[in-house]
Amino acid sequence: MLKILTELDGVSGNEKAVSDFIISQVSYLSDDTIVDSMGNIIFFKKGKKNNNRKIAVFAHMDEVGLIVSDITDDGYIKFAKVGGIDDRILLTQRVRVGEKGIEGFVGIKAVHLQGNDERKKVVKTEDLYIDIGASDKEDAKKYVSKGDYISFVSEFTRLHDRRFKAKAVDDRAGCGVMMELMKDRYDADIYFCFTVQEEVGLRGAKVLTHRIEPDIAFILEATTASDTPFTPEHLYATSLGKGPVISLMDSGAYSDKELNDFVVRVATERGINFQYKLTSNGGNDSRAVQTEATGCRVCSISLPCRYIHSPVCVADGGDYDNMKKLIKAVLNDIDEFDNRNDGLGGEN
Amino acid sequence: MNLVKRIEELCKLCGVSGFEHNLSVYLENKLKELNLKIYSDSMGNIIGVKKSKIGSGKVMLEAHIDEIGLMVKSIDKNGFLLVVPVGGIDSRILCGSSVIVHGQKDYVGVIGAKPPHLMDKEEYDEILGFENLYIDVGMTREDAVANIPLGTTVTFHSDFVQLKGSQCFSKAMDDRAAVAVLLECIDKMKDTELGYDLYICFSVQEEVGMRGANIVSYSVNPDIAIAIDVTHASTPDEPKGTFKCGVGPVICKGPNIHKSVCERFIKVLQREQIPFEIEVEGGNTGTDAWAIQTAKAGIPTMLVSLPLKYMHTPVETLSITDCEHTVEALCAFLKSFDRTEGVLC
Repeated sequence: MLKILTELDGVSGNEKAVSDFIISQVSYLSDDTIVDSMGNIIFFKKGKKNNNRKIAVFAHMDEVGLIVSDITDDGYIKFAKVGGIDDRILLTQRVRVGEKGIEGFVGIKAVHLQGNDERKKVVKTEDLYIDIGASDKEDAKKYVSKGDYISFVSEFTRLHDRRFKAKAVDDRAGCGVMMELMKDRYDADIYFCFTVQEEVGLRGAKVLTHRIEPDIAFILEATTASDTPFTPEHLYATSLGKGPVISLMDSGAYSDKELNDFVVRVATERGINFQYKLTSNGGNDSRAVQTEATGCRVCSISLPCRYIHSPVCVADGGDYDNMKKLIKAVLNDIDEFDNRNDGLGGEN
Repeated sequence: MNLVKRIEELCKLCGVSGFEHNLSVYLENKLKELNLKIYSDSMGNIIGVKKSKIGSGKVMLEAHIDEIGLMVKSIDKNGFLLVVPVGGIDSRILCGSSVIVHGQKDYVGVIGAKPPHLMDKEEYDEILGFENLYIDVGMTREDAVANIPLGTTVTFHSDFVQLKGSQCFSKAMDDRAAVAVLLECIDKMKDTELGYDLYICFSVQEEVGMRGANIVSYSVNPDIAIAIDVTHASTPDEPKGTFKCGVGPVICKGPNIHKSVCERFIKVLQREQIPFEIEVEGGNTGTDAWAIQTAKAGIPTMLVSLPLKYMHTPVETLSITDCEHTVEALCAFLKSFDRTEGVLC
């Protein structure tokens, strides 16, 4: 499932291929499905018990990518970035352009033609271009238009043991976990939310939060693992193989202390390994969910992922399984979590 | 087999300079299928001969079979591989790419970099040199040490892709496209009786200093040699002085090139109305032609190049029509004379 999900193209603002696939796979598990004007999907699943709390689970469908900004006279494509991408990973990267999936890649002149000064400089996005093999502007226009979205091409590939590499692990991992969660029915009413445009400012989650006004929300994400060379160990944000990641705080959200403690208790009781995110950098939909509408308690549970926002994300299948186990157990036991009823939602 | 298929098969094989074994085995079989007599030498160069029943001169066509790559120099305490380049590679293109590590088995790995979320602002402007790059194969140190001996070679993990129009990209087009051109030539000429012996030479270690070609030329000692390699095609960031993909074979002129052989070659192209361009190189052409010319007592040498964009990257791009025209050009030239003596004056 993760292979299919990560190989779908869904740059922010262009998530249709991903949402169509998700709807085709899991809408039969939903009691009520809403697709809103932005493209967010809400699958509502009625609980086995009567429950007046609204529990929501979020994962975002979009991924970082590029967009066609212009076509040069000799038929090359100029582009802008969509979401946070390091210029330095773009050189010679393979891409697919537009609805037709035109093959191409980001060009850079040969090393032989680079002066000594040039070789020491980072090539900026505005100086880069994509080559699709077109002979000139007219030829290129047959295949590509301004505003076409551009996705990285990176086949899901198993590495050693249970590790794998793929693009868009952020956040198709969350989508995959949520699709799995939907197969069960829980005591509580649950809104399974697949959001758009997380990578450009948590915009899908914002409008969804206004629509649902949840009391408790879990954000399923992929987060930075930095257990790699040239990073001192005390700066490892998270590490592969140590289980799903529980955030304490990030650049935009403070996880709810009691909710976090509850998740930790569930993990400990079931013997599921987990780790805390050891940096407050980065952010996700939890900021929008926590601070929009009437506000709500949030907890982020993430898959640790190396080289996030690149076409070669590396993650661990064991962590993915444990993430599924943990969030499933949490949803099963959520009635045990005593929500302080402060009247801030869930009543209308 | 058509030419595109030939190029694709050859590009998919992996053979970093000094480790061309896969290529040697493949090419020995191909040359056998084409009924050539085969020699190989201690360096791994492969030579196929189409013997003449009439004459005794020797013409050599040469292309190199090695490709640029990386080599594992150490394994860190968490199983990440540190590497050095083999051949000329721009370290800036590596970060974010997939590679194949040719250890006990072939292992897919990635070359990672810090995520933007954890970087300081200044770091965005720093290039990543080889000393800052590493390969992640998802192994612990223990597994990596057991499966990936130091000195293991690494190649780009890249597909062969046809773009719109006649262009294709892949790793190792330099110089496998030329190898394919030579195989296609021999295939096309299999029923042609030549007035001289034709040597097809596939040489090793061009990317680390034209080392195979030197040895091959010494042992073959031809009357005329033609090296087939790639030359830079123009891209938006380097429009000056290079050729567009699709202009046809590029014929080199300069001190590396035997003047009268070259003139004859050009006349044949004009007569056959095969498109071509002239490239002028005032000194070292940076190709095997440079080594061949001064082998043994000196060899009249020519250089025919395929225009190639993004040389030494995983996305080396060329036009199939240029390869086809080069095949036509070489066949026409080889058929244009019976005795090698006449070509040299």
